[in-house]
Amino acid sequence: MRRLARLIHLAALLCAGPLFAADAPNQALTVDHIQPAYARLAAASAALRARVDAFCAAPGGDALNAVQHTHAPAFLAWQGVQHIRVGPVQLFMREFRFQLWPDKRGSVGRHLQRLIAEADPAALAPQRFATGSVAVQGFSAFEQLIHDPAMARFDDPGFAPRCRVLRAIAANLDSMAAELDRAWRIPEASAALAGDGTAALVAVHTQLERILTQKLDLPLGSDLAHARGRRAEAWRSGLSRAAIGENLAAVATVYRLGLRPRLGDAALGREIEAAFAAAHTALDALAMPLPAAVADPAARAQVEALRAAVSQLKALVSQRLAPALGLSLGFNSLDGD
Amino acid sequence: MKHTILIAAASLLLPVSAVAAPTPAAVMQHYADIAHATYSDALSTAKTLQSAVDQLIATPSEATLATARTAWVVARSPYQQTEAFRFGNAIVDDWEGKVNAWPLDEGLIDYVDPGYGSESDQNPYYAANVIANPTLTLSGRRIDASRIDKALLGSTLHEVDEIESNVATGYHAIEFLLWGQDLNGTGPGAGARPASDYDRAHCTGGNCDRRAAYLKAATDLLVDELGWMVAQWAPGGEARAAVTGGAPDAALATIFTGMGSLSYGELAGERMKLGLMLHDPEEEHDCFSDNTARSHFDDALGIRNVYTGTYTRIDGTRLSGPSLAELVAAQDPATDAALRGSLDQTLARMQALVDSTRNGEAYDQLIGEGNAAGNAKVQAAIDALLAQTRAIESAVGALGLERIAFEGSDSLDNPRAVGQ
Repeated sequence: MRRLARLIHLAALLCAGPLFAADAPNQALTVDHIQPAYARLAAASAALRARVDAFCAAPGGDALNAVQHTHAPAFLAWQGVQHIRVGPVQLFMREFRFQLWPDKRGSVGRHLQRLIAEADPAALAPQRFATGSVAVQGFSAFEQLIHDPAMARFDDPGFAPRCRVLRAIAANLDSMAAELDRAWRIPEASAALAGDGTAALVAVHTQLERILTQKLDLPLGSDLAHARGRRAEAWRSGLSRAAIGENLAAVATVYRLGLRPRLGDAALGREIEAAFAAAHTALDALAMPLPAAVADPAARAQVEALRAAVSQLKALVSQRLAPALGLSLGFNSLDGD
Repeated sequence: MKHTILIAAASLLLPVSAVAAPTPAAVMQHYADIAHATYSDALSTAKTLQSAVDQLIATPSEATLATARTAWVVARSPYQQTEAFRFGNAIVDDWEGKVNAWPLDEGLIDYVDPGYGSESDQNPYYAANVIANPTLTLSGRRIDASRIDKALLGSTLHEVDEIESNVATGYHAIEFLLWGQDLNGTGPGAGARPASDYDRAHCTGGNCDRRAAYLKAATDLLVDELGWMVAQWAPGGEARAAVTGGAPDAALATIFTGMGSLSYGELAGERMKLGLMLHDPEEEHDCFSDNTARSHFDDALGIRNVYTGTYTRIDGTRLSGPSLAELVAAQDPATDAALRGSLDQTLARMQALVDSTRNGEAYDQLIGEGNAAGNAKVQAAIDALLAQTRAIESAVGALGLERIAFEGSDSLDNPRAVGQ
């Protein structure tokens, strides 16, 4: 298998040649952002897998705490690459196998329950697990499991099958992260980025759209009475706000490395920097965790201010930056219901 | 070789190089005409469904139930073709949830299998069962459901608590009441609700009178809503005015937005890819009736209709007139030929899913875990939709409409309005 992969890489090298030579911004984006971001994810996922294996081998409160604490950096490392929707993450449904969210139909819980109840070791074998339902494979399922009170009932007969599922998820995350890390290290990796900055532009715009319509609007609801904190991403582990922080920092980096060097209009560049700063300031101003803030009369206004700041930034990207670069966004994968 | 055929076929249909392209105004007029004809067909077939439902309620039998089911399937086809009008036309997009909301937590409406579960942390009304419960007390709120009528369904229950899966009205609610849950998982078979669920004398499932009242109210509402939408596209209607009265470029972009958003985010993503990734029949669009393949085919057909300016009505009449395709061809014949080729390719992939269903392997079986060949068929249709999206983007570029079509949705002036 590995030998085949090497052959494919070699073939890609031979065919690619100078055709795939990236321009300077895309090269910088690859070397200074995408490669380190995936390396971080790979390291954090490997650490998480080790913690989970240790916990399941010798279950206990401290070991479970250690798993929960190691989950946070791994999940946030994923948030630091969530905006990358080109290249190897698009293969084998990896994007959704890392994280199925939002989960409007509760598929994660339903499929997890079924998998645990079936207690079929064959279903957890890496190949079969990886080609089964994406709902049980990634961070959403992992988070539900480690915050489920059943995970702390170490003597319960149901504990062992749960831990087997937890290990399968951690192993799956680790191997996917390692694959992505490897795949972006071959010299032609940056060919996944369109030569003109379109990929960077779409990555920034789509991620800002995702922050708005999913990460903020879903928990906000239309008004205070319809606030739904449990619709926030990662509400169980209290990482909703930190996730948005990672996303904003990541798209700012994409902008600075992949788009700003293409931009001749310095005044617009300053406006965009100011809009990024305003979004960060609004995020820092949140006085309580996002799931609680949306339902709190005073803090809700701060969430709405954050929303307005991100919306302003996104409008600058689509209406000013895109035309200034002579680029077109195309249809958005988040269009639809 | 293939290219030659496509271009030859395109030039047979479109001898535009010699003929002047139509004006944008003529294209939009004809677009509104197609919308009006398609919604009119959706309405007339829904009225046939309404009569069949009345028959079923008056004389419940397997025969009257079968007639009602057939009428639903027939009514579904023109409606699905209207979905190409949804995105881009705000008046349609704001309205469509009343008739085609999906997916639904059907436990809100009627009895369900124990395997459905009794609660969901997303939805307090997950298993509320309105048909069995004249009074609902949920999340601190009391709802009087003693009288099941259009107001209860349309105003009180539909999307109650702002939860989208509380679908009380529309095609899918009716579908559930006609077929019942499909309990076959990814195995063969659709929902198998017995006609006696409507038989007050020998009632199965309990509350047959309330179930009949629900089905009747939901069907009547569907007819009302479609009638309203037909009027919006009639001469003097608001939807027609919106696309024929404004700036020509914005109007043309509306057609592209409808085509691209339905192709990509909605059909390829939400309705097809998600189900395939989850291998979950719950994610199948017409999950009770197993009509999904046909519904997806008709979506793709509707997209081609609005591009080519053609529509074949329920009675076989064919509408044809000034089209967006002609405008694109006048600018760039190759881009037009490529887009036509993509639209045809998607229809061929969708046809393969329809054929599979007809031959005994329905959509829910195709997406099943471990069914590599079936999964590949669905993936091929998704890939065709993605290719089609890129071809639509090229056509948008050929007419120079990128800014309106892709960037117009973000407002710099009113950020709070974005995404609401």
